[in-house]
Amino acid sequence: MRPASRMHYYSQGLSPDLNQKGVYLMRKSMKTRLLVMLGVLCVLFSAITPGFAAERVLMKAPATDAAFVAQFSGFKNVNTESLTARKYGLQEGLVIRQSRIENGKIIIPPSGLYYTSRTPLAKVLQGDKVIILGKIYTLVDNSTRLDVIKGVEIKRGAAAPLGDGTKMLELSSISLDSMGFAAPTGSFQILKPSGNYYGTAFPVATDPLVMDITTGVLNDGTAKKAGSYLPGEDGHNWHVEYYDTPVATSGQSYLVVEELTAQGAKVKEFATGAINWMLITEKPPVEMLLAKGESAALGGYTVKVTEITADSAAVELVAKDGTTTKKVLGPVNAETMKYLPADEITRNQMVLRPAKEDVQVQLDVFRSPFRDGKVALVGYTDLIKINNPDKWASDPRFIARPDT
Amino acid sequence: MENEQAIILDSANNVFVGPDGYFKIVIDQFDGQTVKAWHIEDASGNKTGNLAERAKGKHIDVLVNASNRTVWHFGNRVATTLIAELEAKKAALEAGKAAKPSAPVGIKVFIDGKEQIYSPGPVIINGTTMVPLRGVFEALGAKVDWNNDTQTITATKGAVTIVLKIGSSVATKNGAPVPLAQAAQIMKERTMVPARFVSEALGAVVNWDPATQTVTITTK
Repeated sequence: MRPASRMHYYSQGLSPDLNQKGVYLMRKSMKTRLLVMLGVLCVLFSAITPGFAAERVLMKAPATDAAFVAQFSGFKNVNTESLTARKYGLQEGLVIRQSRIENGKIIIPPSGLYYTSRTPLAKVLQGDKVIILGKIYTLVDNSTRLDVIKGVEIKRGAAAPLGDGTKMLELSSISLDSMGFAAPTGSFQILKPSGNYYGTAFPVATDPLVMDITTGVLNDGTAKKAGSYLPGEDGHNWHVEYYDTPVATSGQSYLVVEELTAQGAKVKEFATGAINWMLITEKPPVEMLLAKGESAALGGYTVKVTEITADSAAVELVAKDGTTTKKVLGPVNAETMKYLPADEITRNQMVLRPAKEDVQVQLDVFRSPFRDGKVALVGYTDLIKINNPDKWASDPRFIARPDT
Repeated sequence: MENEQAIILDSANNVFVGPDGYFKIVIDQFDGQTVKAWHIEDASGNKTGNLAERAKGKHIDVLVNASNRTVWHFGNRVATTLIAELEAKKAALEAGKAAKPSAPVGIKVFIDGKEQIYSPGPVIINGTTMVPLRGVFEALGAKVDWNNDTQTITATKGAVTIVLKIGSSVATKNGAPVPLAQAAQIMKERTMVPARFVSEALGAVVNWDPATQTVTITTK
């Protein structure tokens, strides 16, 4: 799936309003003029840069004879620690992909220069860090969504776009003789904007010769007793009792296939998570332990605790102009802790931000949020919001993608 | 983080500064078709070596920092290709060692229009047509002496003295060095030299016609 061309974007913008005839005629005339102008511009554009069509190369890989620099001082490998004392590494990297020489010029296509930063886990509410262009930031919060596709047919080796089209579900392989199955088994993968695959593949099979575990055969166990069996004993011919499933899951992602043949698959439903935006800050966390009625400074705000219970606290954020944002943070109990930090709804119960989203205060959920009759809070200031995608604020020649 | 617009470089506009000036891509040498040399430079001025070699200047794709998992996923593919290439090279070298020099049927040698018959006949080694030195030189009126102790041939014709050592890719003509495309070597007790050397040594004109597999030597 390739992004629409520049021409396509232009033509999408030319839609006449059919409700008013006069306006419609005027717009029709304008449309004609615009199309002529556009045609002239296209000719001019193509004359100036004949071979430099700007096709974005998201999800593409570098050439197999790409130069390889195993380590370079300009791209850092850093060991760091979260607020919860979890130690891990952060690594920067650079990829140039799909570059070419054309008409005497060296071309790196859009998205061909790919600066990347990795961390094994980036959890919110725990003060996890990320590295971007040599600077360490705390990941303060993020927002996610679930992209779902339904009733999609995918041929072997082909892929279907997900969400905003920057990821794909690929039917990477179909095995016709896997583990003795007469049935085809398929392996799906998620292709990411970086050109890498998501770490887990989704193996599925739908042939009736393969016993479907989603019918409950294995969920409830079989009728076999503990022990060793020879073929045909106990009414079971286990030679042909191969178990597989048309459902594969990993984290929030799940795949349900309706049909799988040697040629391709019909996907009944597939869903995967994606990040909408994230909040980061370069400033260190502000740790607070406050009793009811106490307050502390957080950037240009004052944090006030107006009530504390066994598992919650009422907190106010008061801006310098007096604007107040208030919320009861919590409850922190066995039930909510089951879903933290991944579940966004539960997570939002633990944090407070003003409308400007320049600071955040949160319960110190993963250490001891309530002790000695006080509430432990962690605050962050100078928040930077990065949408997915977004222009990199300090250098808008570049697009930042929190979900990569 | 990625470039929104295409990046276009050439020998005049040869530097692209990365996001926030964190690194630079520098094209050091580009002739309009091939990138002969380029490197990456960090904000402190540290530079990689020349990165043009792997792709022979066809493009400037690169992977930097194997510790980064995204990079390594690609690096794994690149490494697989690299290993396959090295294994192919090794196999070719081993095959080359084992292979006998080709004994092309029908390589003919003509001196001033007369066909010469030699045993062994001309052969092609690593793309170079080799002819028997003594047979050709004597046919051209030179006197050839062989010193077995030093494995050296001395050929004289008039004021010209050629000295050639077996295994050496440099001969001398009146003391001046003359490079050989392929080192002189003994085959079936005959010294074989590149046909082109005859031209260098004795001033004859040597032509090779690959279509008819014919060496033509002309002295007049």
